[in-house]
Amino acid sequence: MQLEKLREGLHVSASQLRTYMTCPRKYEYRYVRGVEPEFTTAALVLGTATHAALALFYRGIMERSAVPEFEECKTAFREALAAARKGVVPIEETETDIEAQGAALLRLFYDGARESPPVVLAVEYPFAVELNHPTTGEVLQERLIGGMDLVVQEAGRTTVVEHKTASRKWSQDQVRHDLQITCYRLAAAKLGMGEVGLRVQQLVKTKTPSVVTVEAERGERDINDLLCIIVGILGAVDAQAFFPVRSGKCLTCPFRRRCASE
Amino acid sequence: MDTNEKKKLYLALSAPFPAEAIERTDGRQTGRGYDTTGIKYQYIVNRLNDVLGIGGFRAERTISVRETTTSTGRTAFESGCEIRLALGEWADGRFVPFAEAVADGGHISTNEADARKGAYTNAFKKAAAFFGVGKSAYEGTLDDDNVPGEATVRPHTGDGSSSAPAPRLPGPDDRDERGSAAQTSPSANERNRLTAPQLATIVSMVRRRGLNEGAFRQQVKERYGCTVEYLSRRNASTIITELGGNGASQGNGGNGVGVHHDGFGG
Repeated sequence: MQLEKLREGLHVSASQLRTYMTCPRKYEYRYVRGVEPEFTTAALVLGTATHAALALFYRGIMERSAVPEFEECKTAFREALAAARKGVVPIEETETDIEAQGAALLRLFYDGARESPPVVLAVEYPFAVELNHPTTGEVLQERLIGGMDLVVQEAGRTTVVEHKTASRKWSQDQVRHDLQITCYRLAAAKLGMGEVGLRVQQLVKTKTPSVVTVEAERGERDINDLLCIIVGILGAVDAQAFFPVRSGKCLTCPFRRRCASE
Repeated sequence: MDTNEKKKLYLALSAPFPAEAIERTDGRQTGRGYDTTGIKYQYIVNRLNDVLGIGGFRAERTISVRETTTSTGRTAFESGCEIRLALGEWADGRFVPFAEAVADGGHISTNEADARKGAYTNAFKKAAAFFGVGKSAYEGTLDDDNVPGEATVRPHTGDGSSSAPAPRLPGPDDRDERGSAAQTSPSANERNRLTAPQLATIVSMVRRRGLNEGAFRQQVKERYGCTVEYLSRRNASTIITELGGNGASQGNGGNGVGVHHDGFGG
């Protein structure tokens, strides 16, 4: 089932949680009021287009048992970029050459990944799983939805891989506490995938780009924390707690003008 | 199943129900002379299915019926039901229980089939309450018969209790047994957001009526200031009523959306 279809029911996602934790007012604009953002950040466009290219790469391995040509990946990247440019929401004005930056990152990724292609089980694997109240066990009406970027089999173990494009390498704390990774862990358990490995594969767009792979660990306590966060945020949303959080992130917020004027 | 697992199961079974699961009768309307408050039967079955899974419980019942008369002299049927409700699972074609409750219920109706049905649901709810299902909505005996009619004879509940006063529902100041976390994180019946079935109903009705979904969503935003997914229960209910109605609408208004100045119709 497509992720879009899963979004039709009441749901929470890692993106929603992250947004609320960054700024509740941003959450209100994006999800509650459905306000059209003023622009799409260049970083988001680059990330989306890179995901498309990586998905094509791994899907090729899964479906054809062959590593796709670099040009195929690049085409997927260009097409996703073109789609973003044609979109209703304009891309923020930036001096960054998204296409050149993406091509450099892709080249680096491709040269490394083609050497030892993994056994691919799934690419952009959508999920929707039931959530239970961490204290009462009550089934929440919202389901957790998301998509696993990549699922591979390695040495008899299933590993879920998250792809990230980032301006700098993630700190240990980011890897340790990232909610999306915890969501994967919870979803994998609910889907009967058992104890899965968790990995973050970062395409770091520093002056000299790099590809960094980090293994992540999540335990029962992390799952409980995640459920507490979900229940807490749902309660706060219900209580319409949409206060603004002023920070340096406001500079890149696509709702900054509206927020400043209200 | 260890004690912790049992405790967790009990908490899941006894979690509060949403407001729409609660049914109330007015004694003046039913003719019984007393009000009743209870949980709708289907919600109790849903809870058992949700928590235990399909096939996770089994009910065995014995129903008896006898003829009686109402206070106006009409023939009525008084039905009693003894039920044995077991929680467990099927293994090799055999149901293996890990918990069991026995309860009695009764119902009187001028229709025999209704008397049987009422007695069964009455007993079923009482048995489920042994496992905590619906307990948070009550402070005392379940008095859940909800079949209005001529019968003015009190239903027997099999436990010797008679027409108990309507139990008080937990209010916002009431504390329950769920602990402090539950008090700060609202459960389903304390929440304001529309329910998943409400959302599914709206989406389904919009599609079934051939309305333009994008335009419908835009109209909801304009009217309520939020997306469909964040409607309040009350507003969702209003929309469902309007989408389901066919008398109040004045036509499609030519916009293909079926949204009118005073509501959502078709």
